[in-house]
Order: sequence, then C-alpha cells, then structure tokens
Amino acid sequence: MTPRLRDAWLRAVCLAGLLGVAALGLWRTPELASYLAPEHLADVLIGRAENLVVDKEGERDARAALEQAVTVRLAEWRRGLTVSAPDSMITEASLVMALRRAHTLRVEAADDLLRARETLARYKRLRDTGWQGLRAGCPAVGEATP
Amino acid sequence: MTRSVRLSLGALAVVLVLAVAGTVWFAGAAYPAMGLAGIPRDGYRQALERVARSRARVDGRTFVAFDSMTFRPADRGEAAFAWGAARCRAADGATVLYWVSLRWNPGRGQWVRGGVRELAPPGNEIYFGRNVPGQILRARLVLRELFAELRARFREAVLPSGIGHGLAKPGSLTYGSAADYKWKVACRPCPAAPYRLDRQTTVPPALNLQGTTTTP
Repeated sequence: MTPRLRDAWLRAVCLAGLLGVAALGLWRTPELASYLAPEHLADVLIGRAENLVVDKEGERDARAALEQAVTVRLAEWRRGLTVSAPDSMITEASLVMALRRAHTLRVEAADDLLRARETLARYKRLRDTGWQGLRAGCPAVGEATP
Repeated sequence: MTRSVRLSLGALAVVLVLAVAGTVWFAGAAYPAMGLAGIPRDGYRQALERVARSRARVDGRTFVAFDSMTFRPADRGEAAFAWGAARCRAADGATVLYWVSLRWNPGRGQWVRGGVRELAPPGNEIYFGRNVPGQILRARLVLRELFAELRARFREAVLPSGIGHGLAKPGSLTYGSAADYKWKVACRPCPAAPYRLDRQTTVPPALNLQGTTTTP
C-alpha cells in the first residue's frame, strides 16, 4: 500500500466514523427521533420513566422504613433499653435529629415519586399526541395544567 | 531486579487480580441469586422471608415478621420487584429492622437480591452531625460498613446457618451482633454493661470465616 493510498484510506475511515457518530447523535435527539422512530422513542422514554417510578416507589418505602427504624431506636432509648457509650455520637439529641432527618428524607422521596409519576404521565401524553410537543417549531402540548 | 523477584511479583499480581475478580463475581453475581432458586414469581413472600431470615441469622438476630411488604410487577414484561421491612430481635432484646429488596429476573427465571441492609445501625450516617464525626472517621465508618456487608455475604454463603447451606434451626446462632462490632471504630474503650446500641464487643469466634459455629 502506497503512502498516498494509506492516507486516503485513513481519511475515509475517519470521515465515516465522524458521520456515524453524528448520525447516531442526531437520531437520538427527540426532534428527529419523533419523526424517524416514534415507536423506539416511546420505548426508551416511557420505559425509563416506568423504571424510575418503580425505583422511586421502593425508595419511598425504604425511607419510611428508615424512619420507623429510628423511631424504634428512640423509643427503646427512652425506655432505657439502650445506653450510649461515653464517647458515642448517639445521644437522645442525635436520635431526635436523626428522626427529623429521616422524616425529611421520606418526604423528599414522596416528592421524587410524585415527580416521576408526572414525568411518566407527560411522556404518555406526548406519545398519544404523536410527539408533537417534542418536534422543533411546534408548541408544547400535553403539559399538565397548573 | 532478579528473575525470582519478578516472578514472585507477577504471581502476587495474578493472585490479587484473581481474588478481586472472585470477590466481584461472588458479591455481584453469585450471592444475589443464592438460595432463591425454585421460588416462583408469585412466591415473593417466601423469597423475602428466606432472605431476611438468612441475614438475621448470620447477624445473630431472630426474624420476627415483616412490618411492610410490597410486590410490584413491572408495567411491561415479566420483570417484577418485591421489597419490605423485616423486624428482627437481637439477643439482648433490642429491635432491629432490615430492608430487603428483590427483583424477578425473567432471564434466570428466579428472584435475585437487590439489597439487604440493617436500617439505622449504630455508625450510620443518619446520626452524623455537622462536625461529628470528622471526615477521617466518616470515611473509616463508610469503608467499614462496606467491608462488613461483604463479610456478611460471605458468612451467609459459608456458615451452616447461612442460606448457602440451607436454613438452620431458629436460634442456632445467638452470639453478639455484628453491628456492635461495626461500631467499635467510634466507640473506644467503654465501661461495663449495659450497652446495647453501641456496646464494645469483639468478633466472636463463630463469626470467623474459618471457624465453626458454636451454640452457647
């Protein structure tokens, strides 16, 4: 293979690679995917949103269980079942603070679940309207009414 | 560097790589499915209970009941999820809650563990204050928690009470809890009892991977 032929071959390979990457990127944008592969777009977006809802449901229940566990620890502490070591970081104050934190985490998890469900509902509305809201130049449709 | 030193270093590297790969394979692929084969998709209660009982036993606790239990089939396909909070009793009478989550693997046709962990154990970050403990101690606690989880997985697989060997009779292991051992980092010399939440204890011989279980 002559040097000139080798250079041309390398240029062609690089150009093909660049074009391939660009095509893949463009194909994944909602604006193009809503035209070219609406079914695939529905599978990806709605599938991800459904998985997210399941994750968030589990997270909400885990946070509720954590709050319950700290409540039990605090109750046992107050009943005298639990005593702290001298240099321990567990005191009644830290248990109360942990309970407050666990409650906050549970409320946050409930909010996250609500957002995940809203996201799923939005994607389903967009799919039902033929992804109009994702296409360039089209007004947003399917958004939740405040 | 002589040839023998090079060979020794190479052998050591191979052993290290194999050990790390084996640990990753066990913790990530073998352990999640261990002891759950044969339980049908609708048998999530049995699967959850089996996992909770197994972990409670190797931690020296007694499984009591599930406080909550959820079965959640996926919106599409055969996948499903199950999770719940298991209430257990420590040897000293304290209540311990475990979080157990499973997922149905359609490819394998069996339940696999998503995670099993004690809720709010001593040393958990839920108790951390703004400045207490310091950053070094936090890092040590997190690392210790990671290794304690790995150790618990090995114990489940190796100890006769663990799920890898089938289920032992209730109460066959009643030594001190592993959570107490985890707490040792933050709880240096403590005076005499009663300490329950963060008592200073050492690992009993029964927890040693090479040792055998003992019934007190």
